Amino acid sequence: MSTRWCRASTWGAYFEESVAGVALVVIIVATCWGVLTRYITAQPAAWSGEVAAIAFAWLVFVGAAAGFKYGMHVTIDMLVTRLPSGLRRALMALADLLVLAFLVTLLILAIEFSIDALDDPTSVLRLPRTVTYASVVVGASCMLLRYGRTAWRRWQGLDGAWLDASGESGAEL
Amino acid sequence: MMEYLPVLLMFVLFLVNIPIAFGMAIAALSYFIVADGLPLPLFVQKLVQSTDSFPLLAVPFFICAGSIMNRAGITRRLLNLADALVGHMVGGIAQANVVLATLMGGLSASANAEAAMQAKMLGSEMVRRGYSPGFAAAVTACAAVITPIIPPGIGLIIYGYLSDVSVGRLFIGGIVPGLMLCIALMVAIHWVSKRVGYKPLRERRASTRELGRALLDAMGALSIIAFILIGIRQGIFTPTEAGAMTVVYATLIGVFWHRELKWAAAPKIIVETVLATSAVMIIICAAGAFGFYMSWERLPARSAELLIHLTKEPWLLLLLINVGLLVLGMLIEGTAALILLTPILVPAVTQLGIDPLHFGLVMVVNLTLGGITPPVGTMMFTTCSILRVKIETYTKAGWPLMVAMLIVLMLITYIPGLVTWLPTRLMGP
Repeated sequence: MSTRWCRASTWGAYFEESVAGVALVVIIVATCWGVLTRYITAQPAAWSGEVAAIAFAWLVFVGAAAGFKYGMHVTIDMLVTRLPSGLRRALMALADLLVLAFLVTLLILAIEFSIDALDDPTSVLRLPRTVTYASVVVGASCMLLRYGRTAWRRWQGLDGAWLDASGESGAEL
Repeated sequence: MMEYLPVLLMFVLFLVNIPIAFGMAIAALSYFIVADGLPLPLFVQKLVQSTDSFPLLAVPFFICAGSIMNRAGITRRLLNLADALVGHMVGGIAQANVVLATLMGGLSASANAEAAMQAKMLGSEMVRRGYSPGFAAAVTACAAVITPIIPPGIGLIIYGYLSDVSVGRLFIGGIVPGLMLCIALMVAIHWVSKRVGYKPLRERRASTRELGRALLDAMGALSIIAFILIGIRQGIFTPTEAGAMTVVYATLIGVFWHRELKWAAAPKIIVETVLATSAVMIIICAAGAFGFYMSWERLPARSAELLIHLTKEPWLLLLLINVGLLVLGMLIEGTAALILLTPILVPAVTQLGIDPLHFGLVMVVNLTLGGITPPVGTMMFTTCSILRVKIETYTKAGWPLMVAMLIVLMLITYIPGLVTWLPTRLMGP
């Protein structure tokens, strides 16, 4: 494999973390800038709150997709762990299909809504509100990929993957 | 009855291991699809709405600050200080564990991260010094309860957002209950250590000189606590802005003063923050959509009527809620329960004249305690898995500590002044 391909696939593997990480840095810088300008200059930066809010949406929705890789999403597994394995497999498959169907619906709705929001500007920077809602489009796409993969492994009965989505929250990286 | 179907659906989805956030979102979407006159894209707007909240921005900030401080040599310095303060007592290292959690409480916001960190740092050391692993795990998990109560705390931020109570007041209101939890735990540990014969950490009380040196060394860390509290109290910045400034301040101290924070740690800090933040925030976002359905059907108001129909006595209502929350906290994760129940419970308690500020601390302390009680508790799982302890061993060794904390919960429930006095004193009525 060429190095370039390697680099591209590493970048792909950490896509969500990169996007959400950049969003985090933007939020911190924007908020600090807001405080500083309020005390130093006569005119506080009104845009800082708006930029932070937009970046926050990206952090949450794209970061949530990354969460599937690390088993960060809280679930209640009291019932399923007590079921016989055949029944558990069927039930989990059904649940996974439901989540996937939800994610597809969310993706479609988010695309529709993002297009509608093109001529709805934000109050300070006059950006189309699509900049916020696009985070759901990207986030739902990534979640669809990550969740689809987990669900497929679970269906094939691979390495206890049915617990993948339910690791301890706050578990070590 | 139709209007309750989404609630029912949500619980069914929870039971089949669907992540809490998705269970709520799917249930909410089902309502948007079925109900008349609700445009479907509105669902997306309600889902995203919570990210537009300035108070909630404090969540990533304080998580990030905590992650930085764990790598900036702050924890070790505070541990030295805790040792100098209480190391001479019986059960010295267990006492130091509690004091460290209290000091860290002024810096860190997340109980679970705190439990993991202290279990690795102090829990294994306790076992090495002859403490029973069950007791070591229990002390560590119980001590971690203090962390989110002493400001800053994620639970308080979330409650403030959902109930329209000032996060600054909630922060200040957490100080007295947090200190009470600390004292109660220390008394319980003293009692257990006397009976089992756990030795002090050091032979005699630390000299003034030693104490002074530990204090000086911990000054950087302690100055962060002062920075946050004075900044909020003086109105120099909001709790959210305090969070952002703390990230910068802790970085500066770690890099230039302690010289232990390496830039190479930045990616790990960022990823840790992103994951922990989005795991909580995605539930809050889903709750935004679900909350829209609930208020559209007037469910919070109805359940308030129902609760008040049950009893008009504030003390009895508080008792019922406390018992209910403790049971619920044993079954589901505390933050999720907090997000689900705050909008339902707050209207009821305020109608009976209970101060929502006071109720917030009762609720957050209660649900955090749910994290240390079997059969389900995140902090219990964390410390037990790190120290390789069975849940039964943990419960057997830890029950006196849990009882001590329950007593504090009852005290702050029935003496509201313990919570409300300090915020009123410092920030006016």
